[in-house]
Amino acid sequence: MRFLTSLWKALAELTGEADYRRYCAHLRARHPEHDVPSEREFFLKRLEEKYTRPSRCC
Amino acid sequence: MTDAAGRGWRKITGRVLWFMVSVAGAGALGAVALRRDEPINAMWLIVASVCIYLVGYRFYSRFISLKVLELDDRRATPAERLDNGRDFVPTNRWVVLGHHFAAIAGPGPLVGPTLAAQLGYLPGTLWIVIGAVLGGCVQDFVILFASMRRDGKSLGQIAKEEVSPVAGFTALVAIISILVILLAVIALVVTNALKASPWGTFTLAMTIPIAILMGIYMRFIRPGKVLETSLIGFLLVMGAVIGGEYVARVPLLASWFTFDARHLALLIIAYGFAASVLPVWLLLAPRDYLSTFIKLGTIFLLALGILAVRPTLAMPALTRFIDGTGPVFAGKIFPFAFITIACGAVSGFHSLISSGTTPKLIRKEGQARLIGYGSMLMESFVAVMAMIAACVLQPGVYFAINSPAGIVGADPVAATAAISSWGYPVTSSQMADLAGMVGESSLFARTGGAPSLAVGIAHIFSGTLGGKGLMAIWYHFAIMFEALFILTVLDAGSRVGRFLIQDLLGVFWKPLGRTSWYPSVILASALMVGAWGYFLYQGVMDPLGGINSLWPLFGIANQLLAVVALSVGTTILIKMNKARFAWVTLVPMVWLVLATQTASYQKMFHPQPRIGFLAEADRLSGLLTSGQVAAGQAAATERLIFNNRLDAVVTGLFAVLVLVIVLASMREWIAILLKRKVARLQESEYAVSALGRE
Repeated sequence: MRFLTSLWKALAELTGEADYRRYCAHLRARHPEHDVPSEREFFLKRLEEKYTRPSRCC
Repeated sequence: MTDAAGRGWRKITGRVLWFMVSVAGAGALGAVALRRDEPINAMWLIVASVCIYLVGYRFYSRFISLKVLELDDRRATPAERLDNGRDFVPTNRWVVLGHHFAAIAGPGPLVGPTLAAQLGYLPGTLWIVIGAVLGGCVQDFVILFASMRRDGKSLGQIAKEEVSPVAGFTALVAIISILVILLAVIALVVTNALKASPWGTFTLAMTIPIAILMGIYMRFIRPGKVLETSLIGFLLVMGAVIGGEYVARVPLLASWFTFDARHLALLIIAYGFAASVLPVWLLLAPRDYLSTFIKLGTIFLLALGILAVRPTLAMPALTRFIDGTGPVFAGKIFPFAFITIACGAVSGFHSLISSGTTPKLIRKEGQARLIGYGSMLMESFVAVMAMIAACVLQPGVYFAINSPAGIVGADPVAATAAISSWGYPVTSSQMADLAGMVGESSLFARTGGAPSLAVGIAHIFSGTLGGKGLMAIWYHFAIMFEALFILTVLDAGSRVGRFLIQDLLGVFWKPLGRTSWYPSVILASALMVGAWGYFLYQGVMDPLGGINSLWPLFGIANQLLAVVALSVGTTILIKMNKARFAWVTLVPMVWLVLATQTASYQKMFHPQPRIGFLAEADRLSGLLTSGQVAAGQAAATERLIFNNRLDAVVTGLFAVLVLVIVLASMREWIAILLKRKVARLQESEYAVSALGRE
């Protein structure tokens, strides 16, 4: 069970599912004056950024 | 025992261990290279390559990181200095390795080795292993390092700043051309795998609504929940693989999903255009998640399968086609083995990934070694596995699947007779049995490598799980796996190409550079998709199967980009006052220049029509003027002549670009070495790292 939860956590890191939580933590720690975006907003913006550069190779 | 004695012991056992690894690698390599009379087991290839990778990683990459690049863990990386919680984030090195590997491993290392298997397993395997350790891994590592020292700048920007604006422009043109040819050729691979195959077409078609469903779920119902969405998507795709059998069995349903190559190509072109203009969350992103999961899972399963089955290689070490007359692609080992296998040995495209997202995530400089050098070793191993999967097939079966009808004839009996006469016996009833077993109507002339790889994978998997009864499911799983991530590369590549073209057009007229202005989006997408679509359609109509002309073009384009990357790397080494180590990047670069220039020359001017584009154009126009072309075929022949001349021009363009980048860099090197010019390195400033070890 412990193995499964750590596997899930590693996968969350790999897939970017953990990105939002990390970004919120970053904002709270370094820029408490900024508003925190909603998870949906954040997610859409990240995707747009991701696919403007070569992200998948031959 | 005292501490000092303990350290001494560890040192000795370490040395003994590495000595044993080296001996095992050398022994296995010797066995692979020298045993010619009897078939060998695939494990020899696995042991030889893994030992060479270990030695290469332990010694060569360590030498590069300590002596050549002088990676410095006390120096803050851009991830630390510019940490913004989004794209610049100090990240666990294994997570970065996973990201980077998932980004670089595409269809290339699976298809290239499968095609090169026509020469036997030896030339391809040697090039995959040695090319990676001395060339591909070095390129990925050095460019990753260069970008990391420059706040994650792209290869084009680095070329412009460190070499010259000419080099930067050459890099940009090389990137757009390689995208066009890459997308055309992988689309051709999918087309050939799915033509007249209702099962495969149904499965792949279903991934589109599945991806859209996932996109809507992630957008509206559970934003950002990638894992659970991918899991749901995976289950649905597996359902589609199994359901495909039913579709293929019911004549009415089967007729809806049965297309010839031409119509499939048009559908894929339309799909590529849609994916390039639609919002990414709807189709591109969910598809990418799905295909990345399935890709990594299947690669892992394939490794387990090979270890469990330990198959014997039916293909000889060298076939008769090292003389350059092979049916899969024409041309001798040098240069064509080195062009056919780009990804898996040296892939220029990786330098775009190494100078993209990855350098912004690295926590400590020293980790660039694991991530840059290490992940390319993993990709090289994928290529070795693909080679094994192709070589477990009986050579006769391999050639029956991969030979175009234009060479062996369209009739099964005639085709098998021709292949048997080469010394690789196969019968038409054997091929019919195999086709029945994998749920296809025919496996003849399925060029492009994907189907023979799928038969090989099905062969290996059915040896461990489920036996022959599951052969058809495994075959279609493998086809789905290849087609799914080829389409993902197609989506992502068309979109990136669109942005590059918009960038370029924006130089001439500002509004065209605005990435969200719809007329510009449509125009740039149409240009990009039209360009690769043209080459795809040309490949589909080519009586020699298209792969013979397009795959070498792709290999040359990919190596061209590698030459750009390695010459940028050499320039940086010289500017870092490391000219005595410049051979690290210079040797693979010189080799690639020789291979690409020879291949370009032969593809243009070789007198044999199957190798030289101009010779083929001349042969066809000779037929036309002497009246040997049937009345209805005149227009088609005219088009073939035009296409061959166009391919010759494109090849010539690549050859010229290689020369331009090499000359531009050499001018810079000589000026610096003769002290005519002060070497000014454009690295970002040194800052001391505050991050501790992980």
